[in-house]
Amino acid sequence: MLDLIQKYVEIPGVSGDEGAVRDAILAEIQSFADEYHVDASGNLIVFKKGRQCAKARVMLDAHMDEIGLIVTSVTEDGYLRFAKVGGIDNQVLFGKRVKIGDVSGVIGGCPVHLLEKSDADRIMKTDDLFIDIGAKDREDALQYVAPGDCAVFDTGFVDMGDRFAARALDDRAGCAVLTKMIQSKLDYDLYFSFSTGEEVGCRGAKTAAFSIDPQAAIVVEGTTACDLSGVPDDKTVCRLGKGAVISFMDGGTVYDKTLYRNILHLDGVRTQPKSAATGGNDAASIHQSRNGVKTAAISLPCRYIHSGWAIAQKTDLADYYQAVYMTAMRLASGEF
Amino acid sequence: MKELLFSLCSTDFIGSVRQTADVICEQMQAFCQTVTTDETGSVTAVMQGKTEQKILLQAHIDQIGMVVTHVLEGGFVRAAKVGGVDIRVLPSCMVVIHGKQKVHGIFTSTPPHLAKEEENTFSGLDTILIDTGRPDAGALISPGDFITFAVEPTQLQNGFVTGKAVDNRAGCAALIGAARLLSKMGTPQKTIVFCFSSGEELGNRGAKTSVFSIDADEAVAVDVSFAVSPGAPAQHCGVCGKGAMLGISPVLSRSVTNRLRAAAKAENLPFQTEVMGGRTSTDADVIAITKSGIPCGLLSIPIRYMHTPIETVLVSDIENTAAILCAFAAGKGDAANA
Repeated sequence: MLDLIQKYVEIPGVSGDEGAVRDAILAEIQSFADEYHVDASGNLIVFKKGRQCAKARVMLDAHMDEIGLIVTSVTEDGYLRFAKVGGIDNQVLFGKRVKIGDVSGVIGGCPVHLLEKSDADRIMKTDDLFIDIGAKDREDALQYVAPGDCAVFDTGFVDMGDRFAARALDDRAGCAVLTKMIQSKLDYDLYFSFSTGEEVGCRGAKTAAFSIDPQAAIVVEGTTACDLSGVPDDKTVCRLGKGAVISFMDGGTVYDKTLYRNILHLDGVRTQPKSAATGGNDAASIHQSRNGVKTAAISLPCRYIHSGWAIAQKTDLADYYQAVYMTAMRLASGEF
Repeated sequence: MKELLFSLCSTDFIGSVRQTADVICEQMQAFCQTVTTDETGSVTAVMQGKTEQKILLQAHIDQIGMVVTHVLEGGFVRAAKVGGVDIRVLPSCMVVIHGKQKVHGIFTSTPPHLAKEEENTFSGLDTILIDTGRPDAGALISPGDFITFAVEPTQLQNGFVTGKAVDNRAGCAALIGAARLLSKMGTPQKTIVFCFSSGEELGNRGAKTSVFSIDADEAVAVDVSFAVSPGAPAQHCGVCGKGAMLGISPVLSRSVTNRLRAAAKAENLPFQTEVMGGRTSTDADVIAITKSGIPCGLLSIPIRYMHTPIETVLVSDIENTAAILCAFAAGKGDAANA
């Protein structure tokens, strides 16, 4: 699965611009899927038959989009002004390299030496920053980029031994899990949605859930691990190496308590609760679809997911996949 | 020139990490009779002239970075600055720790749920740590290991190059470029000494010792200075694309400065001026008062985003700086003081 994650994180796919990610997923799954289509929101919706008909219609969701930047305008002297797409912290912007398609750029700002002393450690807002692609002036810049083009951090994948660092683990890790399931033999029929626009308000999942009309759903995600040096236990949220993360509540959803407990106690799978009621994901849209959907969220623990580099642990991948697979089968069989 | 800059910026020179010296030695051996390195890692290359009169061309070889101060449990590392690293670039920045092997690490950033309501300032190195992702990091890393930005140079549009350590690999590239140009002109009248000295970012330390042993009659230091970009005060900046910035300052030699200007004009080379009221914050400050004094001039190459992993330079500015150095060393500006 790590190979597939590496392949997916190297493809840029800022919200609203998920096409290249969708193409890569489609190439992986099309010979394994029984039916698939791309809906009006850009979601890739897949149906895969199992050995038996499902007793409940189950939907698995992973979002294709990632946080990034969008070019808003070009200055007269050829620098790009930008807005953030999704929840990026201002502290991780300055001094980073970005890619706008094939065009390289850097996020620049005033050198620290030329600032007033009181400004030398101030976190700059997007209005204080710009992207420099080396253009001579506006006309020159517009040959390479246009307002509306998206930029991603020019990071990729670094093997750290037992762990790895990558961009867009939120939520290409989830996309990899769903892909692997479609490529495998299933006991029961399942529906899958590779969704758009999660980072800008869980928008794709809303329409996907409407059209799939599931009785139960699993949101497959990446979530914040804050098991950092010096952070007290009660603020860690979850930990690398402790297995799949199961949510009981977050900023968008109060999850089905029984389902949460059942997943947490799955046999032979390491799981941990998400011990903070913060954040949010596609469950916010899905559980409110039509007349309500029983929904669970299963996540890979990842450090620093709001930036260009997240860190995850290789041993968690097996638990993550297994927790999703077993939960899906038990929901489809009517056991959960 | 671009390839040369890429190879210089792909290597590191900080403290005991001295890869860049190898690249420079290899380059200079093609043009100079003797190339030596000293205790501090500085590289000195001599192009023998017809006379023993010595012109020194100098650039610092070292770069900013950090050093490991503590290796903590769980694979986290605490670091201190080596030189004036702009701390605003650190959160989420990938670095390389030069331990028993090269170890990657990422500077931590405050997760949203731990951020205070109005987080307006960067925490700095007292608070943020490097996450190596290796709970066994202590076996590979120890206090004193040096840390550099993990970024390879890359090309932007129109001949701009961005990367780490452009301060002062741009200057090193200009010196190598000048040596290449001079070597095509036959034996020079005066002996030309090229010095790539260490320790500038920690207070011009390498220049003090390496220039001491050279006995130069006059000198030109080559460093980088600020190029204008949005938000930066234009009155304190040069402009990328307008050539070398000719330093004018009470601590520099008027005679050398005038001859640099005359040499550039004689060869029709673009340049801009950078006037300072006192010290230049470059190695020129110490070269000028080495031994009984060495008349010293200064050329600076304009770069954007100084002391970050995205220092950005226009390659043609380096080429033009090399050409002025060559013209000066070949005596093309000497008429100015005649």
